[in-house]
Amino acid sequence: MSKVFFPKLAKSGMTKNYKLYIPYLLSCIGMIMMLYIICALSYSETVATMAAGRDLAVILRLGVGVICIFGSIFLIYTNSFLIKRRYREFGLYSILGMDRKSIGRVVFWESVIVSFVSLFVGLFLGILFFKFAELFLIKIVEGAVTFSFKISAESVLITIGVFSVIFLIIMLKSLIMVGKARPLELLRTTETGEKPPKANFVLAIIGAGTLAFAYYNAVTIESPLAVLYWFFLDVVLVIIATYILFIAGSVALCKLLKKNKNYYYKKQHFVSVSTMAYRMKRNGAGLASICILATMVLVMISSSASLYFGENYALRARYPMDVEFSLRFPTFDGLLTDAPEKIDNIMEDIIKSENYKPAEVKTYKSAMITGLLDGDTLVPINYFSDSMDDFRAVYIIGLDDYNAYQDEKYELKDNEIILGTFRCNYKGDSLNIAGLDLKIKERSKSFDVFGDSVAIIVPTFYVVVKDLAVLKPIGDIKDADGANVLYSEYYYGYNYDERFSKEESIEFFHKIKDKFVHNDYITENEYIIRPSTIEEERSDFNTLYGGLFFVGIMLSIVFIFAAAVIIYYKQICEGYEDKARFSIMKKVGMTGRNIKKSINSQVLTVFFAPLLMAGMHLAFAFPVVWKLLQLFGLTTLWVVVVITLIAFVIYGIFYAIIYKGTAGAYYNIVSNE
Amino acid sequence: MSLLEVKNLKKVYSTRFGGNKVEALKNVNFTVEEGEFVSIMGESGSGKTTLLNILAALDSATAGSVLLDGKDFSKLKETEVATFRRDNLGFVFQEFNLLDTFSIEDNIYLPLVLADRNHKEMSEKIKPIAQRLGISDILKKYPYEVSGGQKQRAAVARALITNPKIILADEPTGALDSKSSDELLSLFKEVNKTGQTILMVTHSVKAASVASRVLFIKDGEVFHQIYRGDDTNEQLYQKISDTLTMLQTGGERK
Repeated sequence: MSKVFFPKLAKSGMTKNYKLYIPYLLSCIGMIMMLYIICALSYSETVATMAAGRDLAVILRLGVGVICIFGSIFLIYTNSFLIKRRYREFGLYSILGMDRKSIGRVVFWESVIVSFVSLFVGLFLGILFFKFAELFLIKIVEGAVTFSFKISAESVLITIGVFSVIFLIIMLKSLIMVGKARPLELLRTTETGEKPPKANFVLAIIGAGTLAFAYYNAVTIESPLAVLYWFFLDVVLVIIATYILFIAGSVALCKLLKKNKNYYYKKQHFVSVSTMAYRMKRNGAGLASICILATMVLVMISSSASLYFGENYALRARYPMDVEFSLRFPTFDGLLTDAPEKIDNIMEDIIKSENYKPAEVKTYKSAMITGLLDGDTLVPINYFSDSMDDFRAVYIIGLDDYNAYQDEKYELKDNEIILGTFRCNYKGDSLNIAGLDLKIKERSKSFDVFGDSVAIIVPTFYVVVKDLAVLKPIGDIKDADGANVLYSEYYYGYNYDERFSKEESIEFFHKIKDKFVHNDYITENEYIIRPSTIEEERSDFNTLYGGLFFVGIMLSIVFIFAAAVIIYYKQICEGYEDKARFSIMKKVGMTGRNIKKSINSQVLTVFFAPLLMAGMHLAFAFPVVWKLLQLFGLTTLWVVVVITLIAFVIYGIFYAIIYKGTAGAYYNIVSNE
Repeated sequence: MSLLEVKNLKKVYSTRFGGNKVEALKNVNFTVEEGEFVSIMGESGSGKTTLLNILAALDSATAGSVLLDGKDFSKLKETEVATFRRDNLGFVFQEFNLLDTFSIEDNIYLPLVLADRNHKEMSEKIKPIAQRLGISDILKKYPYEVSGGQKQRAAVARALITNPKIILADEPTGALDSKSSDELLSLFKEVNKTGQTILMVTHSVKAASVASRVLFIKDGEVFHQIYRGDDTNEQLYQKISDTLTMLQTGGERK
């Protein structure tokens, strides 16, 4: 046989099966393109020179890792589906006298062609679209635009390396699959009758139970820290439950419906219920995968978008004022010294000498104590470990400072307090802080003070007392190990003078900061001074959250595309199966309209079940996601809710488009006589 | 009035761009009386499948008319055709055409479900039919679990359950072994005795010889017909094969 025979046969085999091969080839090209783009971004100089650019590169490389793992699983799965669809053709080859080795050579050449074409086209498109992606990333993280155009050699090599391995695995798998199959069986694969699926009620109940447990867990977790541990377990449980429910649960449901004779023997239900029972057994796994992919996309995009769009709120919660200076004293007594007044004086001097007048100045004194909550008593403890669900940080402020800061008019008696909670709840009506018995008079939600509490990840109480002096008795209290648990703080914050630009404001901030550091008349007491300005923090936040959002978008595109390909193959596969079935029904007296209706209800159910399930997963995952976002300092619930809803709607639209496109392919096959 | 009247039926197939025209049926005329069992014979390519498809309203004629009970169903709208077919015609196919996703029982119910009957009525109807056809004990099984003969009997049951005016059978013994064929044919005969009209297309002489009348089609026309009269199956068999020999050797019309 001539040398070109096998490559030719491989080529014609693929062109004849273009309906199957084009989506596969597109998937390969798309994955390669995405891998190159994200990889090249992580190496790009533009990223390296950004604020927090190194962290952004790490986030991007995380995306590279996800694409490598997901891409290999997805392409291997898709390819084995393709090979199975072509068993008949290979069977024919072998009947026509081709031995298994020759069929292997055809498969080999097919793999070679797919690998080369997709690597070439994928890299070409990747290099072409790299600049767009970079501009998009810059837009998201609000970085500086550059106009250089460079091909990243290391990314090209990484992409080729990764995909060579993936393609090699795929080729070996195909060869093994073809090698194992028997020629005559190959010819007959699609013709043998199939047993009706047995409903496994036990498995279905286990699936439902697992899901209920995971949901219950997700909803009832109190502390954000416990979430970190449980989240992973819940994700695994939900994935398992989804597969079980789609595979076993759906068959069991169909069986139950069949038992209800008055329901089952109705024109609208008769055909769809019985075909669905069959279909689910085989395609349940595909549907479950689609559902999991959808959930992944939704959780990923809604949380990263929430971080990105909620960034301003998070930033404001962390830094309530534009510029902040705080003096932190290791005990309560520090507040009683003249250090706070000295700060005020320094600030006033500077403001006078520079003729810089802040738009607004806020100051307050506060104290913080940490401990374990036992009933209504806070037992002081100095250190913190992840397993402490009862750990609380308690921020305490005097009534006058609080009223002034929040612009409120509360009144308190000596032992009364106002309580606010963050990342936790408190139900009691009194609180004992290290021996101080305090009665809760009011509860308040408005605590814009204590930006610090947003940055640390523990559950927090905010307490307003009549006068900070009540803390004097516990001012230098120690925990069981003799370590300090209470410190006090003086806070001085101001908002920028609006007459100045941001750059000028930052310049002023640095002048003030330098004065503090070089000024030696606040050194007599032991304390830490912490200066910060929101504008400088903003660019770090932008890069990190923007980078997460960008990777979220890129990965969502990959996942949505993958879901579309899975759906497309499912439709095609079912189309061929249903074709014969519907032609029989036509002969037995079903009208074209009946058939269309039945197809519609069937396809719709099968199609939108994963989306509904994903929506349900998302709803139950929401409390967990919200708690995780709180760890990132996000405090505005409504932002997250709105963004999650928007993400679901957008995904739904994409999904409907995919449905429209692939349902067309299905109708074409079924109605083609 | 005859139950089925076929008048000047003509069917011309043209290729996609109207180039070649093939005349599958030239001019077919015949009638079927109520309670008759008619076989239509012919070689492959003679037009018998086309004829059956037109009678089954699966295909439409180029010219001519088909009247069932005096009603011309080539004039029906497409939506009415399916209902008409369901209410008046029963089908038995060579390949059984049972749905593999349904149990035998559900396969038999299919036309009734499509006609919006309730389940109680269906289950009452199926009992005597299943008993008569000897499939009562396989009703709960699935098509892949039963033999070809049983499948075909299930298909007959599906055709009978709507009390059709006429049963159209297309090579019903084509995919069966000889024992199952014999059983099916005697079943047809029995069903016919209860007054059921049957029209069967076949090229098996054995199958045709069970009928009360045999029509021969050649080159798109009814070429000849034989009435059973008082003949036994064997005598009719002989007559049919003589006719076929004559047809094949190109003899003239008697």
